[in-house]
Amino acid sequence: MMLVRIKSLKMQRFESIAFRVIFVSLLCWFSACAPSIAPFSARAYEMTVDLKVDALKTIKRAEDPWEEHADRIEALQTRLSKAYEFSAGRPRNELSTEQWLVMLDPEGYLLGGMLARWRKDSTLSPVFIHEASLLVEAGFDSIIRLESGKVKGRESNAN
Amino acid sequence: MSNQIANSLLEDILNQVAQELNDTLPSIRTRLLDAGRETLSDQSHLLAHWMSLASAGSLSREDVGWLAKGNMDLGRLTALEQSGLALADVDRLRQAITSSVISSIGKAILS
Repeated sequence: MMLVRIKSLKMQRFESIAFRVIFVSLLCWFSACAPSIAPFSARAYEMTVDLKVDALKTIKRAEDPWEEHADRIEALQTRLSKAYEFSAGRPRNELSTEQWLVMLDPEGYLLGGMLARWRKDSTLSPVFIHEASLLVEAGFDSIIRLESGKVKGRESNAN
Repeated sequence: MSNQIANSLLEDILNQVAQELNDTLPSIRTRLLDAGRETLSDQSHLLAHWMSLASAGSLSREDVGWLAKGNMDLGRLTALEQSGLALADVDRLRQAITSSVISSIGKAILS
């Protein structure tokens, strides 16, 4: 009788331990799951906001001949390339990187395309500059909204 | 005894997961639908605006074509943005489920 009781107690203890082990494993599995998209990056956010301001300031001067602003445009393009590379280097950040590609494509019709057209035509008309700037601005806003909509984690400030 | 605890814990977790899904999925669906609707409405509105500027001689036909293609590129950016935000929502949902599991385990261990 005593032996049966001891066995039963041991069994209960084993079940209790097994139960905890299973749930701790489950918890570890949940925590270890990689996120679907890169977490929010304060650095990416700041870079994009700065570039939006500078890009819009630069293309507003497209009434002037391209050559007059060539240095400024080249500096802007270097910073845009850095932002793209930063985005491309972050794991699970393909959607933001694709956004940068669309924005910067010289054969496209946003910032990259506008700078290419400015270079080709030397000057652009004020109405065209205004209308195209609205599209470029909306494009930057979209990139910014995606970044700020990402999950804020512990590494957000470090990235 | 441990079976009872496991069942009640599982039920608790499943209820919380169902609640999280109930809260999250409609918001993703609404956002995607709204974005699609906005894009369509913006495109027709903008095209009419550019055509009127072209009629007034402020824009060339080439400019209007360029801007229309720019608007399509903007649509691509918005679609990428919405896809990314939907993935971020999935991550938030996963975090909420993890928190629910932790809290349920905590309660089960303490009780």
